Amino acid sequence: MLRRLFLYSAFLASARAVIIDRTAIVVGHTPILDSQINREIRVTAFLNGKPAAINSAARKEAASRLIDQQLIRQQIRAGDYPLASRADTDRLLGAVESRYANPAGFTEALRKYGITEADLRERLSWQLTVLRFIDTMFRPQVVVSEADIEHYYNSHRSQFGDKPLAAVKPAIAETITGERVNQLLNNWLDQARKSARIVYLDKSLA
Amino acid sequence: MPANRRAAPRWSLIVYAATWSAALPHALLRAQSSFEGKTIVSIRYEPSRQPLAEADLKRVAVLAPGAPLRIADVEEAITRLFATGRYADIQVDAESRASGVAIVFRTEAARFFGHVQASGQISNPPSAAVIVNTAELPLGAPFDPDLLAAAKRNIERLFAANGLYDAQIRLETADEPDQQVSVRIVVDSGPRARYSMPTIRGEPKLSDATIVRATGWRIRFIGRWRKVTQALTSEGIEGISKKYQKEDRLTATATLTALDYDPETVRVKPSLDLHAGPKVYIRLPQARVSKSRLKRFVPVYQEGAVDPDLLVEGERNLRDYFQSRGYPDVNVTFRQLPASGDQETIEYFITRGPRRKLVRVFIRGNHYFDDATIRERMYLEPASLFDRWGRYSDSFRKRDEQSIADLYKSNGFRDVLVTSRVETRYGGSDSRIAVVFSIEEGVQWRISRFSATGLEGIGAGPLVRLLGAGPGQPYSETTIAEDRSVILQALASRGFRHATFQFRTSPSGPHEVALTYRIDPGPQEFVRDVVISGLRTTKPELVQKQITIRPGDPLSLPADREIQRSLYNLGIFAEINTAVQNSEGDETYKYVLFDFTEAHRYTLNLGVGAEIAQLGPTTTAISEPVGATGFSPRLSASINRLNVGGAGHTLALQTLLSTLEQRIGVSFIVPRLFDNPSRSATYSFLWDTSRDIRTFSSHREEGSVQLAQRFTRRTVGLFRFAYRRVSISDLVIPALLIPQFLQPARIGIVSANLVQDHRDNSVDPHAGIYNTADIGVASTALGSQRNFTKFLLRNATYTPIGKHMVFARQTVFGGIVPFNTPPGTPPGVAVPLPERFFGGGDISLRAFPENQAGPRDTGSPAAPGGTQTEPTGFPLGGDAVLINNLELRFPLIGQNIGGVLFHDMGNIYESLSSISFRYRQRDPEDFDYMVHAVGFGIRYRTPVGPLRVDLAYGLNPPRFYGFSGTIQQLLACNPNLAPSQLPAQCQPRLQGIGHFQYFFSIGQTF
Repeated sequence: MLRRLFLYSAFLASARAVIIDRTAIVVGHTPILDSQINREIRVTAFLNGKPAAINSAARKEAASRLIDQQLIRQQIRAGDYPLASRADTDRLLGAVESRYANPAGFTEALRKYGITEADLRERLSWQLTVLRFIDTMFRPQVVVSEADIEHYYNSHRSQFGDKPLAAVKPAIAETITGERVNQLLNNWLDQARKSARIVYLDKSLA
Repeated sequence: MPANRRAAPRWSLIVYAATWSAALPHALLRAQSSFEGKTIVSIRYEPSRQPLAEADLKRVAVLAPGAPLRIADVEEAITRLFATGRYADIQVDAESRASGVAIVFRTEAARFFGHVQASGQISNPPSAAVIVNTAELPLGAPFDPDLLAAAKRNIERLFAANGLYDAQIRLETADEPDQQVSVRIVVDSGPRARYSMPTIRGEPKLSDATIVRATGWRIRFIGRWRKVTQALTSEGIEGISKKYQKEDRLTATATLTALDYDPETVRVKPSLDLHAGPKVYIRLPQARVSKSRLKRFVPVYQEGAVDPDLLVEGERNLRDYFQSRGYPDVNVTFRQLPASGDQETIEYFITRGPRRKLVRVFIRGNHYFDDATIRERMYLEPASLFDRWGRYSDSFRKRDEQSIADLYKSNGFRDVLVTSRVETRYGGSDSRIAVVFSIEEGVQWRISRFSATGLEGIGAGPLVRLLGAGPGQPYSETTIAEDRSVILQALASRGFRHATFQFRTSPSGPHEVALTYRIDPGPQEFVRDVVISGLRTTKPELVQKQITIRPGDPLSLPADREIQRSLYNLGIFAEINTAVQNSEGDETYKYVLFDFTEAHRYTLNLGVGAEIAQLGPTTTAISEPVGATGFSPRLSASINRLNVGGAGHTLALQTLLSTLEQRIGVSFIVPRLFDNPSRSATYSFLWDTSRDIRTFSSHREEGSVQLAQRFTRRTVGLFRFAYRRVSISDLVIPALLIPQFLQPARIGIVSANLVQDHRDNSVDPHAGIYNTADIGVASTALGSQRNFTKFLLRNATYTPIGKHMVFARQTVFGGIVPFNTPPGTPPGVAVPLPERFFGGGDISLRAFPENQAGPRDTGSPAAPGGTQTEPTGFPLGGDAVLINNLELRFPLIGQNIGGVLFHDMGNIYESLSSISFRYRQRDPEDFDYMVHAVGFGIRYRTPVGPLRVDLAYGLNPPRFYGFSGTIQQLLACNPNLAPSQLPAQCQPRLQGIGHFQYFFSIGQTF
């Protein structure tokens, strides 16, 4: 009887109070909040030009991206890596805005996705910072040899048609580099996750 | 139970869950939008008592009543609270109010590891302490259930390595106040497995029996397999490696690949992978070097590989060795012969060249430093009394160049250049060389301008005065590094644990720099409170008195370590850990943790030893007053009970049993008397019988109280009151057979002793001074049956001579002065025999065997009524002592074997007025003269002090009359007859202390 009364009163109490934010995941000493996960879904959808589907699968993916972002953020702070400049961010923001016919259309799109220009700017600045981090930390470790390029060319002949190797060499080198940098980044992230303390308070995101 | 009653709770849970699931993203967004911009009317925390200190809660607060609610601010608020490290979960609720919105922070506090202990059925090894260390649950670190799982895995691995495969391990946690979690590791070790015959693979080239013998896993002669422990397993592998080394198989490898456990038989089967490799012979066809030296010089032995780099290093080491032996032109090469069958040979060819003495080491071009300062840092040394050829090698010459250059660079001479050359045929002789070091100092760089920013406002301005850098000072990186250390340590002791230091230089003139230190102190941290854990029997007040930090003090790790040291000095804790809880969290006020592991309360020490000395005769045969060499075994045992009553007191029982002495002693020690760490009290009771003086056996029953006060680090005072009953028996001197001598005497004596120790090392001093002064008064006012004053002064000095020699000197002066002697008491018995001074032996006067110095029995009765007999020559002790010892201590062979030349002089005298410096003994009944001895000793340095052998030659030892026969025969002789009338047996026999004395012992003489 008493237990039921407690549950009801908690329910009644909860009916008046509304949660406006809460912790979903903790990475080290840094929380990832429900509001941040939602925003991540919306901003990503906005940039990809797709509808913002807020369901458990999307939340899980967004949460995973935010964990990776936090681990990278910690590394950037520890290693004193350079942040994106305001000018670069403005340029990128301008490029996104130019997709819309006019500023009003851009503003309306932001409103439709439930995000602000500040949210978008922060995301773009972060993207540039991460690219810079990857370039500084992983690109120097990648060495693409002539043999690698030749091997790629021969195994993707259909892609290049009649183009000779010399003509596509720079593009192939860039592709291989990109793949290897990606691999290094993934390996690093895997390792960072293993050594970090990640606590899922919202078990549905684990 | 009715169905509806069973259904109701399920329904409410579903509704409750549904309500919470409404806080899905859409609802969250709607809620955020609806409250955005509304005025915050109140902010509440649930629970109301938050894990953060009030000041920190205010510091990190973002939202404020009266301000509009911004959802971005809510994110920031949660992030900042989390950054403090004090929270495991935070949720923010909003409640609508008429005038705005009420905010509620619902929080769950984080927890941190506290005391960890191991208990249960623990079979050692591993010990409880090792189990706790293996768990790796750091004190004060955030509690993480994953760490508990990892701890259990680590402990299971530890147990398996120690043969405890069936151990049951359970980790229990309990919440403690202040967010601590204590962990109890409950263990049931189970049976320990035994080794079984290992499986051997590879190419061992040794028989299985030999391999098993080398491991030590099977008990010899019995054949039973030992129980498995981690230490035995690794010693076993090492034993195999050593076996291979002995057989010159230097590249052999021995690897343990598996330990397979059979639960049926409780046996472990090790799998070994052995590869013997070839026999490697290292030959020196042209020179002789001992095997032990060769092993040190050619790293092939240690590294277990025949590698060109290692052989080259061996070549270099051998060259250095021969050069240091006086062969500066030595040439060393090696040749690796092709492997032949099971054998590989390496030959080192050593062409020594002529032997040359390093006679001089010149230093030229130095102005800033004098020669003595430079030579202190040099390895090269010219030939001397202790090193016939001097100390020289090419590599050490280069090293000395570098040492000198470093000395100059650390004093601002950045451009210094140091070179050296060897001058052969020095002084026109082929066998003499000299080395000349040439120093081009260059110009000394100085600091023209200096500033240190960042210390203002935190009260650390005076710190600048402690720095090495300053205007006009020499500029060097060494100074900057030292200043960095000084600054960061000073800031750490003031609560600035995260301070950073940077420096910048800019040229400001020829050979001048402007130097700036940029210090960022970071946030200052303070003590929130002190949390103590782990105490079981110790009274908390005992510990709290030692913890001098208080809430609000700056957080200082050096202060914590000092407190830790003073707690260890209580002698009742096996381990004391100190940590800052939530060390990495962003909070200003932090808990300081002290976690204790109490020591075993009972300790038992057993000792076995022996004494080889000139021991006395039996009381029936009294022909050898000096004694003959004998052997006396001894056993000792002591039991200590620590931490009596949880107050840090100690109760000790000590016993000693030997043919010369039997003793039982009980002591109660009270450290930190009246909470003063410099003061302690000891209450003792002693029962002792000893016969280390040949003349008699002494018995002593004594109770005493002693107060020790440390005035300074080097000066200690001891104040003592003792009440004892002394008596003698087995007296070999009939002349002393008078009632007053034989009756027990009660002595109540109060004494004070001052010790001043300024030596650099108390076990083997090389410099300093040591003084002691002891004065005691026995008086009838203290219940004593005798009145006398006794004092003993000692002064020792140690003076280094050059780098290697020490001149040591000690003077001892003491006296006993009876007073208020009752009428009729003969002076000879005013001071009981056992209270007199006795001297002679390895630590006082080496002209004599133990306790043989001073006055001797001449046959005269000690008092009226005593028996007149023929003299026996036994020592009687005296009421005064004056001894002086001189020693010249010097190295003899290498670092560990030293030599000593000594001169002892002095004696025990009848009384203070009898002290004399006279060299000659007037007659065989005169003992008040100064005896001299010279001698030589060897000292072998060990971790417990030098082993000592001394051979002394007495220049003027005493002669005395003795008796050959038994006491009965002595008593039968009529002393009133003229010597010519006495039977032959009764004729006094002229004896003497032998000129040569030898001593074996541990520790320096003084």
